Amino acid sequence: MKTFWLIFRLAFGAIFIWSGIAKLKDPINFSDAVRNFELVTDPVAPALALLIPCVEVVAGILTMLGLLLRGSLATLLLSLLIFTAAIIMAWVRGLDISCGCFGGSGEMNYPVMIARNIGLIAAALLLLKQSMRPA
Amino acid sequence: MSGFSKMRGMVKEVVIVVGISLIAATLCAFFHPKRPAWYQVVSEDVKRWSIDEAEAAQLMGKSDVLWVDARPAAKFAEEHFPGAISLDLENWADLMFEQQATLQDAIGKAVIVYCDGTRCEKSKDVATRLRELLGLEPVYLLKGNWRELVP
Repeated sequence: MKTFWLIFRLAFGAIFIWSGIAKLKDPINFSDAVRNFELVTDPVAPALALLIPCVEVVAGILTMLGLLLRGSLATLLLSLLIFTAAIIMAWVRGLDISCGCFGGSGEMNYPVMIARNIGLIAAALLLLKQSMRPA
Repeated sequence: MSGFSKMRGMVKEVVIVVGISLIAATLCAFFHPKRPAWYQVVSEDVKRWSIDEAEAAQLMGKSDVLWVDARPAAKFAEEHFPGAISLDLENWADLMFEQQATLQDAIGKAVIVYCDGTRCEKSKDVATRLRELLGLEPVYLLKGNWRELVP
């Protein structure tokens, strides 16, 4: 069981490192994606475009290493909740945008994005619960 | 450890994680070769040619208008402005070929490019191409919801 949780944790961390690096490769593109959500204005949008991927990479690395584990998982969980809320709000307002998720620029398929985020939220909650258990 | 102190420990860790990320983001803001500008510069062209729904309605009343849908072809197939043509950047060459006759007819007409969302980047690129490659004029960018204008 221990091995299962270890692999689960490593995979979860890796997803965010990958997602963060993809965004960090082209922050200009990601900052346009953030602007398209029409939730924040400049200069908050470009600042977030730099902060979000850094959070993902830092928390992803720490999650994989098992350092500051609860804090890293809680941070990722919180970001996932915020991303999901942003996607739902864009969907409700009928915005035709690319979500910038994983640094991509493809069209946003809202139900798929939301389902994927719910899966990641569930994974974060499971890992967080596991990390709370006394060793 | 009690639930409360566990929670406090977690919050402390979150602050550290976010703090490290903030330092990394600050470094990126100064040294990343592709760092974004703090304020987006709206080009003179975009400022000049952007029209809102009311201006578009006025234009429709005054002259013959060619509507250009800059959204992906799939979205166009779902619904579009009556009589609009689809010019999506991803299938640009094919669509240009298909719409050749309509575009030739559009010389002298007003063109309105639209897509969804008020900050549609695609419509700007499509409008620029129509202006620069085809020499169409005037090519307007609709800032607003095209559905409001459907007669």
